[in-house]
Amino acid sequence: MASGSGAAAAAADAEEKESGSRMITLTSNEGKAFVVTEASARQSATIRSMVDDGGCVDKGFPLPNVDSKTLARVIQYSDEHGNKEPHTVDERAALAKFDRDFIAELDADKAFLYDVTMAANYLHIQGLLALTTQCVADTIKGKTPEEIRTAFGIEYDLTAQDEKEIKEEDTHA
Amino acid sequence: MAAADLLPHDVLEEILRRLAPSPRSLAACRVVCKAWRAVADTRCPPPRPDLLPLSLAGIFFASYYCPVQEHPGFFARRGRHHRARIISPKLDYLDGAPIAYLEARDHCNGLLLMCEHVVNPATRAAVGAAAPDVRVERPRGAGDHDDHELVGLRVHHVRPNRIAALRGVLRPPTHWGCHSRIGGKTA
Repeated sequence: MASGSGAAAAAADAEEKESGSRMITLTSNEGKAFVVTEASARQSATIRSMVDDGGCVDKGFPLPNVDSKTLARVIQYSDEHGNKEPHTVDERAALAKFDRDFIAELDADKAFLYDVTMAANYLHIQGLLALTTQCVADTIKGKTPEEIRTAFGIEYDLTAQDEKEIKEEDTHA
Repeated sequence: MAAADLLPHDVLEEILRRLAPSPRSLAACRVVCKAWRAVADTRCPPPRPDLLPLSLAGIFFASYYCPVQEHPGFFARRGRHHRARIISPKLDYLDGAPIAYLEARDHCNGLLLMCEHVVNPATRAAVGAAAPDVRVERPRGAGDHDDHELVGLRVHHVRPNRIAALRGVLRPPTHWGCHSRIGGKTA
């Protein structure tokens, strides 16, 4: 900052540094606007490429596939991961603890877990997608096919041909 | 939670891939529904054989040690899991094989080499020993004079729907020692 009177410029400068420069507006499918730092938004590869392609940063990004509740939760994750860069062992441990708590909360509400998984997939937030899909996988682990169907509300639709194949393979699944 | 029904394939793939370390769970997913089966079969790599669960369910022994029966004997612990035992010594899936052919000649990697079949007792799958996709090999250095020498079994070009049943053999033997992997259940 070349011009400006000392303190104010320094404060603006500091704020800019801290927030990862620009702010970006994300809009949920319900029309609710969320203002996040660019660093936080860049956790999403989808938004990152749109930002890097230039242009529409000022207009914000409408996210027609994500509702407000889900978006708020996704932003909670990307804020934590985007705005802080863990350098020390303690900071890394804190971030790992955040992840654990974050996923434990989601695990208790499976329907919401799926919403967040879909949003992470849509927004290409690799870390969050890894976290949520692992959680779903852990839910599947050790279950019988019937238990999986119940847990996920899936209808049995295998044909006689499939069943014959399964019998032939006889996997004892 | 019908939402999971609508999991897009790439998300489902991501989830099922994470089950790779537990092939039994992946196998369960294959029979959940059409969509899951398709993703598991086409988008997931087959489980790494070295990750297949290993457990010792029992030990087969050749019948020439036990003259009263032709079948290979099966030595296993009795207990409350007796009925739920995965490995059955019964070779009743070898339909129509004359009783003389049910002598176990050798074994390797959890497979039994019968006179005319290669059998995986863990999956109750059998293929003809003379089938074009089966090759019975002798380990290098094994003497021809000793009939009881271990034989390495390798299965090549297995038909896709046989892969699951015979997956246990896709791992090349790491050593030629006598090992009891009979309990190794393939997924």
